[in-house]
Amino acid sequence: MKTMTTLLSLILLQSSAFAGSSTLPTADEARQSHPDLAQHVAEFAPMRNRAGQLYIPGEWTLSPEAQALLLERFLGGTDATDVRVALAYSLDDSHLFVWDDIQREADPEVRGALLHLAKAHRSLEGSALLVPALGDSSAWVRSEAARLAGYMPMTEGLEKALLNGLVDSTAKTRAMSARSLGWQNVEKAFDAIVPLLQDENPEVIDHALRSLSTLDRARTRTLPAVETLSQSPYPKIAARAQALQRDVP
Amino acid sequence: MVHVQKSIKALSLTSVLIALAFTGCGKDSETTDTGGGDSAGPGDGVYLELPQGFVQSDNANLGQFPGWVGVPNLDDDDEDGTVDFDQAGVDGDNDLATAWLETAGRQVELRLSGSTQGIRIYQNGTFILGRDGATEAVIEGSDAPVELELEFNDFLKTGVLLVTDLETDEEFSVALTAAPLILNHHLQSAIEVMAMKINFQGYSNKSMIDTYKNKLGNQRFIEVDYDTYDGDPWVQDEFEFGYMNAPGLQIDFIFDTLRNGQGQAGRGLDNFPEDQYEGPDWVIDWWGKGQANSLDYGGNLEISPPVEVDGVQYPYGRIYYGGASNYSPKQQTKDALDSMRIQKPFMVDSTWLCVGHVDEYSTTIPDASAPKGFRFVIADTHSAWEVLNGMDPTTSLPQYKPGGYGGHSISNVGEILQDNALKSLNEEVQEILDSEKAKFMTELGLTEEDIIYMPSLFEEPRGCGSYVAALIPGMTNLIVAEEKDGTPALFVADPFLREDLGDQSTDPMIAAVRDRIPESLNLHFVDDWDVYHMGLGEVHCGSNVRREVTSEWWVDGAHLLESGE
Repeated sequence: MKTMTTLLSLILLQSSAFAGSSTLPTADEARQSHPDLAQHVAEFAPMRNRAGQLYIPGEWTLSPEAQALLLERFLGGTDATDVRVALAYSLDDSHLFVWDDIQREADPEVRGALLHLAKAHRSLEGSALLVPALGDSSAWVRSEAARLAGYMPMTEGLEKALLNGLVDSTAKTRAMSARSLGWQNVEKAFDAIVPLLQDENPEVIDHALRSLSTLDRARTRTLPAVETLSQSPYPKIAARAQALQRDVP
Repeated sequence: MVHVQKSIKALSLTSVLIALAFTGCGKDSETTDTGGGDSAGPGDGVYLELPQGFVQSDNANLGQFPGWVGVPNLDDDDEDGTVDFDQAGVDGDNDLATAWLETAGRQVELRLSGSTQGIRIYQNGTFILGRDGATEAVIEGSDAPVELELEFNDFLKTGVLLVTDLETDEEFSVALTAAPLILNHHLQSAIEVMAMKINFQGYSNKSMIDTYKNKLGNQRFIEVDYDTYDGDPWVQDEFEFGYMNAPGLQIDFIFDTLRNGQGQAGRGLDNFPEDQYEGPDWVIDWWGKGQANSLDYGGNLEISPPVEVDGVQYPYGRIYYGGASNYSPKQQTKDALDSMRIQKPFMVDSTWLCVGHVDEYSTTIPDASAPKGFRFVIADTHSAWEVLNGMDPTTSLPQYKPGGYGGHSISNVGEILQDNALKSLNEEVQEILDSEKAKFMTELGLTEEDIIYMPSLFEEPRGCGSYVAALIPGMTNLIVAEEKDGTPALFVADPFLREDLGDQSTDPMIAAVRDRIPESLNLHFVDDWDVYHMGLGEVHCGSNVRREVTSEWWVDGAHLLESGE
């Protein structure tokens, strides 16, 4: 069960995309001013989206009062994990949790969902969150942090964490680290990505090859591994390598 | 006697055609009436009159495959809870294929071979050959033609009926063939469209439902009840419509997927097909068992309009579904669809999508002016960037602005244009789309002229990791249906790429789509945002369509079935 201490440690950052966030009421205030909404938030069950995941649809979730009440229900911690994940995803970009609170969440899916708030936030604070997340004990959380890093303002700390991600024990994290470094055009990552062309996992190879092409296409074309990859049993990788050899962008 | 009504219908048409044919030729003025209709027979020998024409020893062509065709008698016309084929001679059964045997007054022997346990033949309503019975029977000569009826226990069951005139020893054989299952495509007229009406706490699809009702008419729109079906809005995913038919016979089929209310048997839409359609002349069935994955859902099973591929005609189109080598629909489903052969299935990759359905990025729409009578529509990011680049970056996007499950946390066009990560992601998506387009072109025999590129952008939505879904409401995920006056129309997700949400005329994305879609189609952009778009689906996902059947597969599709006979 979360406590009010945890609630208070939540960072509520004003966002240009959601001007109302600075006036987010407390849950108690929301309960007093909107008792019907409070009852609904306390009792509703999320629905399933087309992918089978629980979600909480409807405009009613968007008001500051609803956001305060949804946050309170999330922090209450009494719901099942999949409901708590849906509650976390229902929070708008006025919310960003600090890592100390995120890492206290026992379930990696909940930690991953809270990290996702950084994507909407697109702030340096969000970038900073991903650095420790890339060292999380859960492979899912690490891969989500590596993926989300592609969307965030790049910092030295995040670059370093992504470079470490290239040698992560899980393929998804290696793949997403390579992707984000390419998306962010981190040129100095080139040499660190090259070994991934010989990774055992085709998704890693594909993202590595794509990122290297983005970072330095001419140099990538000269890599010996590209010749080998042009004969890859994976059509997507072979096609990309062959296109590089033909210098087709 | 039973089994009569549809047989008479079928034969009356045949008889007229035959009568016209023979009148024209001036033949057979001395032949006796067949009794199966008003026409004259082909001579004084023994013959079998099929709906397609006569078969006799010196004119046996029509007896060759598919020959005498029928339907798998898998419905329950007497509604006693038992499949009709499992009980010979069901009262009220109207799914038996009729032929008329002219004995010319002589004894005729019938010998059945092939899948004899999957076939039954009746003489004047009495079971004589097939399942748990004889394989030979002698028909006594009579002045009047003898009514024979045929039923099968499964799709594409085949047999041979050898007909021997015991007086002259002349004989001929007739192939017996059960219909394949054929699934519907978008060029078949819509009989009825169905979707769930949802409206509470600002969670509403009222606009979409009202549009359906207004354009289709209340009689052709089925409103799926929210409370009965637990607010499960994904009507496309639960089931797929098809049919099996033969001359004068038709049984409608619902492939009731293993989705089962998204894994909760008896919940959600699981029981909707039974509640709405169960009854005579309907079969509701599925293949395999166990927990479905998303690739097993109806939205991941689509059918192209008729195509010719490498010189092979597919008059009922081709089935396609999404998957990959290590993740695909259940093998039992794939095997069953493969076994029907007439709509030869193929697989494209949909596993890069969060939901994983082919209807998220491809569809087909009718276009009488097109070389193939239709256009293939595929999602295209280039077209979307083109539209966005032509817009004022300061254009606010109020529909996209909310965060959480309300929107995409995007305030204006500039935020999209300046989002390098989004651009990179969509470059990756476009690579996949290009690759899948190439597969479609090969498998459907398409040329560039056949393709419409639908402006689309994708994002990595919450909870999906690196898998994507539509950022701009997915406009390829559309419904094709005729309006009340018969005008074909498309029901498409409103992209809401504008400031004034109430004025679609100011939306450049809508204008771009209108420019691409044939003028012969009415376009209705409907608000699917709250209920569908934010739930990772769009208009097609939330709707289903029952369509008219005009098939004569025994005439134009038999070449696709012969290899397996």
